[in-house]
Amino acid sequence: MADLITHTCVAYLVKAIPGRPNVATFVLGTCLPDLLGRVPGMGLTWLRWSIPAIPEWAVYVWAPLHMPAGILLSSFLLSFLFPEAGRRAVFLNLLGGGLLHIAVDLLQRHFGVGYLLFFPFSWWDFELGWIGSEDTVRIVPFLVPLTAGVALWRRRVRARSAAA
Amino acid sequence: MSLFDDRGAVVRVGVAALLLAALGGWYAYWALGAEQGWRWAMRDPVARDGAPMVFPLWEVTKVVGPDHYEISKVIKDIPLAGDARDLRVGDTVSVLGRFDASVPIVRVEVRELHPLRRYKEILGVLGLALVVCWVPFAFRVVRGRLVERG
Repeated sequence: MADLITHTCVAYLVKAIPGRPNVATFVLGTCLPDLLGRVPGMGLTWLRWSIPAIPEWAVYVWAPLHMPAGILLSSFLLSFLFPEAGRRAVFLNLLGGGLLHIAVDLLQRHFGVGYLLFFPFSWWDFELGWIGSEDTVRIVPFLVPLTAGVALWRRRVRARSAAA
Repeated sequence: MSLFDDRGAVVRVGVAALLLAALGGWYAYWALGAEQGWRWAMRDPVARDGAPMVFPLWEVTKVVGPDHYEISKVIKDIPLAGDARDLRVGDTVSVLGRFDASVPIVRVEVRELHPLRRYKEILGVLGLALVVCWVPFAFRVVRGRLVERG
């Protein structure tokens, strides 16, 4: 997985540059695969080194939340936290953000162990392998100022259109 | 009636939650019984002698000597035979190797050191903290439901 700062910046740029609505929901959607599917598993893996009584299955059960089928279901579930009127749009934005997350992760290479895109229907795994698993560290110093610049530009455009 | 209506939402949310739990259970069942990796090899070492092993992004937890070290992730302290002269405890490595039942150990064929992994982890934690702080500024609660601000 790429780091959460890269995912957040990419999602913001994809939504904000064309001036589309629901930016925050889309950005939240792009964070969810890591927040729900990676953080608990990584935390439990680390804890198991000190507390071996934690069962191993508890580490694995979160993984589907970082796969398209799990993202689809978690986006559907979370959309019910929002009002009925805009729920479909919320669902589509959470799902779109989550799928963008997977698309960014697919760019990486992990020694031939890719992502299970069609779980639970297939165990076929895939990754493009175009960048190393840590290469986003080199991109972040450029991506963060660019994102901040776009956020400032977007704020000015909104202020101008509000004043007009 | 659409999938997103409040009417009948309890049933739809319940079914989706059950499906999600089933996905988690199925994946864990597969991961624990997968016919690959160290655990699988150790169930019948002689039969799996020479089996290929892949360990992407595992942490070095012990450097035993210049050609022997141990790595951990979900399974702790898997012994590897390979060049360890440039390794330190806490480093992250990806390894391709083969299972050697006679010791038992994994004989390393290809190893990649990930010197930037620590920085990536820092960015990950920083990103997590920023997201947690950002959510209350991006959303508000209106009549018990989340609404995007702005």
